[in-house]
Amino acid sequence: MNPAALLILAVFAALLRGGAFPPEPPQAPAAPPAGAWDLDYGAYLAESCAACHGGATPGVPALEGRPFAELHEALEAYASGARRHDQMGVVARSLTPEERGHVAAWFAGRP
Amino acid sequence: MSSPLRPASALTRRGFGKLTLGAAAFGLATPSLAQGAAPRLVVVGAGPGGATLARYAAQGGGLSVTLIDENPHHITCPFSNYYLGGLYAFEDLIHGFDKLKAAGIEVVQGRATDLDREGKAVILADGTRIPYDSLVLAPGVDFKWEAVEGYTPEIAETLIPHAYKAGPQTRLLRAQLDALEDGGAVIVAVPGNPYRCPPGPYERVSLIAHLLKSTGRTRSKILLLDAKSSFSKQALFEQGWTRHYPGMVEWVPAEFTGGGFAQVDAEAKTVKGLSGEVFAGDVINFIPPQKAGAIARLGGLSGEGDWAQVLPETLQSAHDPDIVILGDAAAQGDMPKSAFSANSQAKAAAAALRARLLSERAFPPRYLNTCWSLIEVGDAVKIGATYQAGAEKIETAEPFISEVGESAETRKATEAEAYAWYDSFVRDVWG
Ligand SMILES: Cc1cc2nc3c(=O)[nH]c(=O)nc-3n(C[C@H](O)[C@H](O)[C@H](O)COP(=O)(O)OP(=O)(O)OC[C@H]3O[C@@H](n4cnc5c(N)ncnc54)[C@H](O)[C@@H]3O)c2cc1C
Repeated sequence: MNPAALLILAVFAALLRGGAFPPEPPQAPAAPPAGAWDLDYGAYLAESCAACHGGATPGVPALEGRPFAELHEALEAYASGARRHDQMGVVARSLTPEERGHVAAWFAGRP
Repeated sequence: MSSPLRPASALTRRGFGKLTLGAAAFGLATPSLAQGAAPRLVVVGAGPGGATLARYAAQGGGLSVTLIDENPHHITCPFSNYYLGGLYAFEDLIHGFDKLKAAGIEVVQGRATDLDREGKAVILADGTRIPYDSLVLAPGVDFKWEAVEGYTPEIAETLIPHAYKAGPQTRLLRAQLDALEDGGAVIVAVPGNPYRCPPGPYERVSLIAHLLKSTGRTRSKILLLDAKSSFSKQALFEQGWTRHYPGMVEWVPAEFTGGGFAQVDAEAKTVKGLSGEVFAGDVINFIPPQKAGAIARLGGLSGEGDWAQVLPETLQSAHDPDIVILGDAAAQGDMPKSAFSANSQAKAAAAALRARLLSERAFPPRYLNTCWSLIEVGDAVKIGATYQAGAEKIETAEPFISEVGESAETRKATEAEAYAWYDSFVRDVWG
């Protein structure tokens, strides 16, 4: 069997195991080149997040060091209403698209 | 998480040099600036507003920050209702200032009694002068003792606690509730707007009901005497009381109280409404009407009113640009008097102060608030909003509120958020 056929088989097997189609590749922008986001501004915006996201209690997740794409997508989804949460909806909509990028990039860059 | 640290950029030093020159050249009354020393920021009040401000303003260095509080620690009102309901330890409401000191903040214990605005100094009760270049006042509220006959600080401390500043009175109220017999009556009397924590009294009623119910005293009644004819999250609370505490809570609105209270009789254990009607209770929690803490009403800082007028963009006093006033003491526009609001305002004000004093980059203010209320274990609701600096006042941008028909999982998740917020918030404020 040639390599291409093997690949197709492997994809099939994966589909069968998962019982669903593979997820769409993420549509969010790839991690930006260094310097594209304003990290000083991101740090300031992140101060607001610290009120709720700074604890060690389940109920509100920590944000430091999470991948940029995950944080950015989440903020976009809250802003559009695709993902629903009272506070996060109004918070995400109070930020401009650029500001959502700045703050996501700042958190992604934290240890 | 450690709170975000704004990197001190090279711009800071350059900007500071420029400011020093300017101050010296124009002979401004900023002695420390003229000498090239770090500008002196003095903060009165180490509650959610003042402590957050001191902490965020100190980050990045370049300022000498002094924080004055009359107490050696702060006891939070947030979660004090949980304590009353038997759901939280009193000790866990107490927050010391050691981490603030470790962050380079000088903490001074003393009561600020006067301001010398010409000479730019705060004066403490023992006569000590603490000079400032910029001053922040976050003293919280004072009670209008003059408003209700028979209700005095002494009565509040011994017989009829307000428990609306957390401390010994919170414990006194809990002890009185613990001693209440099944079938007894509790009065919670609530003032008209504005007062600190609009949903606070209604959460308190809920958690008193929880305490009574969980100790088998379901024949007891809570009489909620209100100066108002509607209240925060009303539909949510009323539904919760019917669901969890049937027959235990009775709300008596302005139509029956007369929209306020004329008299408290500690001997007879009665409260008299402006309507003339007299209500009796075995335990009475009387929450008096409020105004800004005294230091924020000195020298016209609150104009003709009860609260200190501030500029929406920076929270500088409308009457003195060298003074910032925030938290409960300020006339904060559409924002409710909450610890969350005070914490949010403090961050915006700290960034604005650093921009003014150190010529750092200025960022637009960001204001938000959420007030969670626990109605019964596993059933919490919330209300909140984002805000923006309008021309005249801080204005609501986008509000939200829990829904009456929400699922039990949502209410449980909201409860988890409330606990997570308190944990996170106290770290954000006191380190
Ligand atoms: C029962 C109850 C429940 C609440 N629950 C919540 C909640 O769940 N969430 C929420 O966000 N808010 C809640 N609040 C509201 C919250 O407590 C206040 O809005 C908040 O404390 C305001 O913070 P502040 O810093 O402005 O003032 P304060 O917290 O009052 O702090 C003022 C500080 O200044 C000090 N001080 C005052 N005057 C002087 C002086 N002259 N010299 C020296 N020191 C001085 C005081 O000792 C105090 O430490 C609740 C309030 C109550 C009463």
